[in-house]
Parts: sequence; structure tokens; C-alpha cells
Amino acid sequence: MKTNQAHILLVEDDPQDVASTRRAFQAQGVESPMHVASNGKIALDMLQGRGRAALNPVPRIIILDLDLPEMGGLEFLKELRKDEQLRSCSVFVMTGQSTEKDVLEAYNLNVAGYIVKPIQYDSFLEAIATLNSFLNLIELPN
Amino acid sequence: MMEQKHNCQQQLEDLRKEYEEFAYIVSHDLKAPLRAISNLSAWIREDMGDNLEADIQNNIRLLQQRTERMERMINGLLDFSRIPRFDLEIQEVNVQELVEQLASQLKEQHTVALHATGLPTFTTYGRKLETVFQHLLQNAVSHNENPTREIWVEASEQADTYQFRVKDNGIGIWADAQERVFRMFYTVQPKDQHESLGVGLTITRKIIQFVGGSLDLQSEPGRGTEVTFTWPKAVY
Repeated sequence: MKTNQAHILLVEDDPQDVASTRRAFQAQGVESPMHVASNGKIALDMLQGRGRAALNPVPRIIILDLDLPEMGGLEFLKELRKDEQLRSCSVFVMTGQSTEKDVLEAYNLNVAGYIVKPIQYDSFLEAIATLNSFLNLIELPN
Repeated sequence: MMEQKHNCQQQLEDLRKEYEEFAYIVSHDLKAPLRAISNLSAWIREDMGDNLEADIQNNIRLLQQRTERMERMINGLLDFSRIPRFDLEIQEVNVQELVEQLASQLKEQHTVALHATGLPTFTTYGRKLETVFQHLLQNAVSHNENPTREIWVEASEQADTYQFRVKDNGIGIWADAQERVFRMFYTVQPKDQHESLGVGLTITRKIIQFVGGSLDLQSEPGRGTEVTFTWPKAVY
């Protein structure tokens, strides 16, 4: 499947960062539907089809903040990798923090990339443009 | 008595850790609202386009400049908090090459004359020593209004340490400001007229204290500044 057809799940609790990400993707002409979960637990419910939030089709690309309420980003990643149906999802961490420990742990959980959110909006746009170029290059499983 | 001493040392160590953690967490958590301010102001500019009056455009430009400055300040705070925990690789450092390389980067923006010979090669915290020279050379050039910014770097070998001296022909520092320059975010020149953040000497002194060295600053307004510091020959 080409990634420009894939649904995207953004796991992010800060409404401002949600708005920035949506806007930056729109500026790149990305038309893939973007769903939002405000913590890891809600994201898992959406992906695993629990409750009214269940998503169909299941997003194959996940953009994940680490500093989340209830279930944090790394905990979510561990649960995701345990799930046979979901473990092949491509996860890009996009977070405000970059401790060496978090970066290592995220890569050990097979993230496709670890991005520290740039503060300046122009730099954020560039980061999303680069991510979008990458997504346009890669193939994902159906 | 011994137990009391041990308790005091433990309390001191706990406080030190708490302080470092505090600086680290604050620097991270401050970034989120700053990102929002930067983004929202960029959107106003983007959405309004040419419909914005000139003075509003100017205010937005100022707002964005301040967020950029704040970001650099937070990064400075973060760098400061990382000193005891990061860049701890021990490697052989050719100080002569290091200083020449750092000066050549400064020559891209200014006319710089470096006078440095016979600087030693030794094994130490390479990145930390580089950071110290980077800040000292940057200060020597930034706080200098001469057409040619002159920097003298010397080293002398002592029993257990090297003593380095970095001297410039810059604007110098008034006596009453010579201790304040080590305070975080203190700048000799007005912030609006100068890009300096006021973290360089704070970080420099903290690194030198961390490796067990000492630092001394001598300066005279209009005649330049001389920073002398010791750095242990061996690190463990």
C-alpha cells in the first residue's frame, strides 16, 4: 500500500500540537485522514477496535508523543508491539523530549524515527515536509 | 560525627541531583508553551498575509525573535544541566588543532588574528574542553569592536594541570560586572543590541569546576579580557 493512502493516527495530548501537526500536513498537501488520540490507552482502543472510537481501516502510520497522560508513549509502544495485528505499524516518535534513554528505548521498540518537535514553526514545517517525503517513498503492508 | 558528615554529604548530593533534574525538567516543559506561541504567531502572519498593517507585522516579527531567543536560553539551561551527565568520553585532544579549528569558524564572520603556539596534546574530556574553548573564543570575538579581533592563547604545564590563558583585545568588562558575567543569562551588552545569551561563561566555569580546575578572569574596559583556567592533566 502506498503511504499517501494510509490513515494516520496522531497520539498527542496537547491541542496546540495537534493543530500544528494537522496544519503542517495540510501545507504539504497530505490528504490522508488523520485521527487523534490524546493518550496511549485511547490510541490502543482505537487501533484494537474497542468501543465507539474503533478505527476502520486501522491506521498503519502512527505519530506518537511520549509525554502523555494515563498511558505514556513508551508504554503504548510496548503494548502495540505485543499485538500481532498492529506490530507492523510504522511509528514515528514526535516529542518534546530527547533523553538518551528514551531514544534508545523507542528504537528498541522498533520505531521508524524519533523526531524532537522544533519550537519554531518554520522548522516544524520543514520537519513535517521531510517526514512526508519519507512517507511518500516507503511501502507499507496492507 | 562521621555519621553526621555522611548525612550532610548525602543531603548535598541529593540537592545537587534535584537541582540538575529541576533544570532539565524545566527546560523541557518550558518548550511546549513556547512552541505554541511561536506557532500561533506564525499562523497569524501566514493567515493575514499582506492584510496585516506594517506595525502589526513588526510586532509579530519581534514576538518571533523573542521566542527564538527564549528557545536559545532554554537550550543554554539544558546544556548547563547536562554538564555532569553528558560528553564524558575521554579522548586524546590536540589543543593546538582544536583552537585553530574553532578560530577558523569565527573567521567566517569576523577578521580574527589568532596567536597560539605550542598548545599541548593530552587525554581528557575532549568535548568538554572543546566547549570551554568554544565559549572563550566566541566571547573574545563577540565582545570586541576592533577591525581585527586579536586572540592570544597560551598554555603552561604544571605538576598535575595545564594552565591555559585566553586573552583578547576586546571591549573588556567593568570591575563591578566581573563576577556577574558568570551568572546565567547575564550579558555585558544590552540584549537588544547584541545576540549574546549570557550562558557562555556560566557553562565554562561549571565545566571547569566539574573537571576539578579553577578559573580566573582579569579585565579592563577598553583593553580586553584575560581568562586563565587550569585543567587537570589526568581525568578519572
